[in-house]
Amino acid sequence: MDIRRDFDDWQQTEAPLEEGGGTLSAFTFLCIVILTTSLGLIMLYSASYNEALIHGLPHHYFFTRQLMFVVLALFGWLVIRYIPLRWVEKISYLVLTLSILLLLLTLFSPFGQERLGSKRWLQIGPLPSFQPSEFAKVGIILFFAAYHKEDRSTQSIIKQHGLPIAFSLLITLLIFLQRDYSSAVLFLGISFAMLLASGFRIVHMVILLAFLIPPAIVAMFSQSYRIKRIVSFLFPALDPSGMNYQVSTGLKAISSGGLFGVGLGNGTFKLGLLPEVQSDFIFASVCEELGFVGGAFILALFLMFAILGYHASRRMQDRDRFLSLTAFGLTSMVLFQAILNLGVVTALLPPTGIPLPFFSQGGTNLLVVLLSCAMLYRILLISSGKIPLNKSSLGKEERTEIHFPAQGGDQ
Amino acid sequence: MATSPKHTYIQFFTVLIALILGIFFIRLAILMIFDQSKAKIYHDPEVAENVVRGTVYDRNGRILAIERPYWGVYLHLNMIDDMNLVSEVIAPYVQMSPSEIQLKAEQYTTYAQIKKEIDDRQVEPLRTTLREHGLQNQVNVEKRVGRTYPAQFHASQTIGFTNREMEGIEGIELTQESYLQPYPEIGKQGTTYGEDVTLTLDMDIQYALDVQLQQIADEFAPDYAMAMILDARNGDILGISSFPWYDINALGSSEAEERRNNAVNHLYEPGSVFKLFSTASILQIGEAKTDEPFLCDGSYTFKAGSSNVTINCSSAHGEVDVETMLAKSCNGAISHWALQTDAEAFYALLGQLGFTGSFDISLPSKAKAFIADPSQWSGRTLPTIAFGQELLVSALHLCAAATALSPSGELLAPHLILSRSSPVTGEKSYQRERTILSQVFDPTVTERVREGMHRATLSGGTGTQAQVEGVNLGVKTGTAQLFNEETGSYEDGTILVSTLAMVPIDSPEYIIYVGAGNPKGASLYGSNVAAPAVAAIVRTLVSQGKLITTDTTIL
Repeated sequence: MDIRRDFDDWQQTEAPLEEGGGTLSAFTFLCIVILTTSLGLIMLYSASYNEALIHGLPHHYFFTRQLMFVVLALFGWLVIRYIPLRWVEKISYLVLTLSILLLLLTLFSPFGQERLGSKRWLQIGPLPSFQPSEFAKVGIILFFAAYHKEDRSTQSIIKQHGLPIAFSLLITLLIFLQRDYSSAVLFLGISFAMLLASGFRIVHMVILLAFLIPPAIVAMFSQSYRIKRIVSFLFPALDPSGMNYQVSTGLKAISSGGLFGVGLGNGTFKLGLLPEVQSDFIFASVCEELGFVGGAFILALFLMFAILGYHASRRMQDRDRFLSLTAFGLTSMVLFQAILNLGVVTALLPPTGIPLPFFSQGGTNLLVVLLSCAMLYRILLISSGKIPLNKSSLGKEERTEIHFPAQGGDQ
Repeated sequence: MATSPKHTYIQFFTVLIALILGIFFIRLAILMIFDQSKAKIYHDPEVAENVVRGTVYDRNGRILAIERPYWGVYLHLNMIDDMNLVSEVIAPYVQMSPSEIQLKAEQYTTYAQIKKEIDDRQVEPLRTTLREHGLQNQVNVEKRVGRTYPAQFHASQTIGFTNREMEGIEGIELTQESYLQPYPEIGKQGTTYGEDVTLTLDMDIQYALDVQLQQIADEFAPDYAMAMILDARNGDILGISSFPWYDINALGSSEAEERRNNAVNHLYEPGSVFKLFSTASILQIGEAKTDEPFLCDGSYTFKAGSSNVTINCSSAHGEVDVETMLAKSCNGAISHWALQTDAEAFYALLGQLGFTGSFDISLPSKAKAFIADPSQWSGRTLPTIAFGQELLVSALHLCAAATALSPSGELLAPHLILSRSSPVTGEKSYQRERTILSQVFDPTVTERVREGMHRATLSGGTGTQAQVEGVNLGVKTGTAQLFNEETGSYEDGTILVSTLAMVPIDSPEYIIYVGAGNPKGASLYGSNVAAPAVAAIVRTLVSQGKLITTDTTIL
């Protein structure tokens, strides 16, 4: 009996090691995640204590709340580290269906909570409120990965990509109806990246965009505040104290940081001058306090994240298409979000309400980001040969026997 | 296993992300290193060091509320070596005996307040004495700032009060907070001064109202009482009195019911005083046959649906016309004419007079009068409203509506704020203007109503006790049974006696209203409780030179 059949990656474990140039990528990734999360918590406390005090809350309110989600993510990390990956694959369609249901509940049920003009939060009973759109991002990534696990290149383009496109557009519409235009754009960006990754041709993408851009522009101009945002972005001098106030104050905060910053905790813009400093504009406060060095360090961390995340996707390309696409999608999700946020804070993009991963206040987002990191970490471990792709069906003794066959065993 | 096509998308996205992050890196470098010289470094703005809260005046410039410093005496107990010496030294200045001082100090552990406020003139002598004895580090003469209300309980519910942080909490002090106590000015050192607020109140008249309410309280012991005077020519509120009252300077010992402004916030069924407005409305609509005299035999019966309803009068008034009806307060006649009037038009006109809304006189609360929608009226509602039941109004509503009974027939907005001005430059930021809310009645209508009011002061009328020799005034008295919400009946409810006067009646200058809730005594009517008070107020106006009698010799 050839018991080697039970190790699917019997011959493949060695190959990636040679190609990948070492086995430290998973460990490096883990260090980056821990470093970024810790830095994010420290900067969140620095940026938010004043805001908490203004609202009559304890100074550590936002910090403690964020920490709770980090602890929650740790448990999630352990689960993702050890569950069979086939389970994840199997529940992919379910996750997407659940995401759509939650989005519908947010929109059309009394559980949906309206804050600051948009209806993005779901509050069910005593559970803390959360944003279903965050889960929908993971849902669509897993769906794409599971759907394209099999090679569909022989199928027609409609069969190959019709269903994922339809789901992507449906969820984008639902998020848009929540009056969350920026999240809808981010979601669409992730979906398009997944489409390209799953073999959708560039020329087809251009045609699809040609159909989607006109309604997107109409939707963008359907709300007066969005027009104001665009105008204030294009012509900031017109209204420095109005819609553009937050961005221009953010730029002042960044500029005042200089090379080494004013020092951790010494920032002044967070003391009531910069609205939403603990949320969307936390990077401005980071730059003010840690300077160019600190800002550049965070950019470097995100670059490392991108390299390692995409590296994992590339190494899994020939071994397991589901994991390869998942790694690609989750890496893109975190990075697209970071790019949108950094673009707004540095005034390279019009103002939107996208938080900075690992740093901005917001439990749901942090939880989703950290759980995505957990998945990426596992894929990195597999791709670097640290753990097998699938758990062996043999018992411990049988496996030992393979490594140390009994003397004169086959008699 | 599926074989992945050789896509280059991963390399493409890696490079793309690296490029974008590179752009951010360059952007940060430009912003934080190369453009750093252009960066506006934030500095705390220079703001005024303190804010002096504006003063509240009456229309004659009398101070009603003012910020002023006061000095108190405090002991640093941990630093005192000889308590006997300290108490003997400060005793003459705090007007306490040394033993009293020591007793008071024992109540504290570190910093003892011995006297909250001492005479300003004693401050420097006390400091000199403390220096002479070397006690300046043990005894602190501390300056604090507080709000003082010289008028004490007069118009206390209207003026309101501040808290320890000098923030307006009630009355004018609350509603005018942003003017009286602005934010410290940016870009200036020194002091920011809040605006002075001048009220339309005339404290001379306010005193007259308060004296009369106290008189009623002494004689009839009502649960509550209210009085108000409006300038009929421009809607200025010259006096608002609400009994029981409280001394603002002793706020801590006041009761909630003393702090309530009954004249503005208490809603009740006004009774026969309301006939003034229902009569004017009936005349204005013109559907009732008011030219035909009504024969009053002491009661009036009419059919409401399938049942008969009987309205009683105080006596058989005989043949009455509109003016006599008002003079004798005949319920039967007003009911009879009300039934001949369209309910919707009647309701609309009362609404135009403000009896379904509220008046904003810059006080925190705006009591809203209530008359049910005609669609909800029963068969007897229309005549009942006509003699002042089945509706809720305040004294303010009645006085404001009475401005429409002046010859012009214009309803004027009541005002409590006369002006706001800078205490530094004297420049006015707000000046009250006469505001016509609507043209309600024709002059012929108001003339007939005022004639009725005038006849009420003559022999046979209900308001003879309001008569003042040499003054041509008109009144309407009222004695209303108030609905008892607990029992759901008028029978065991309390009463409210009131009188509304206009003086001089031909060309009214003052609208006076006096009301008392649940008075005690043998004979309790508007005519013998409130009307004499009105007469006394009118006599005071004459004595203050604010009203000229017909026999006054003008040199």
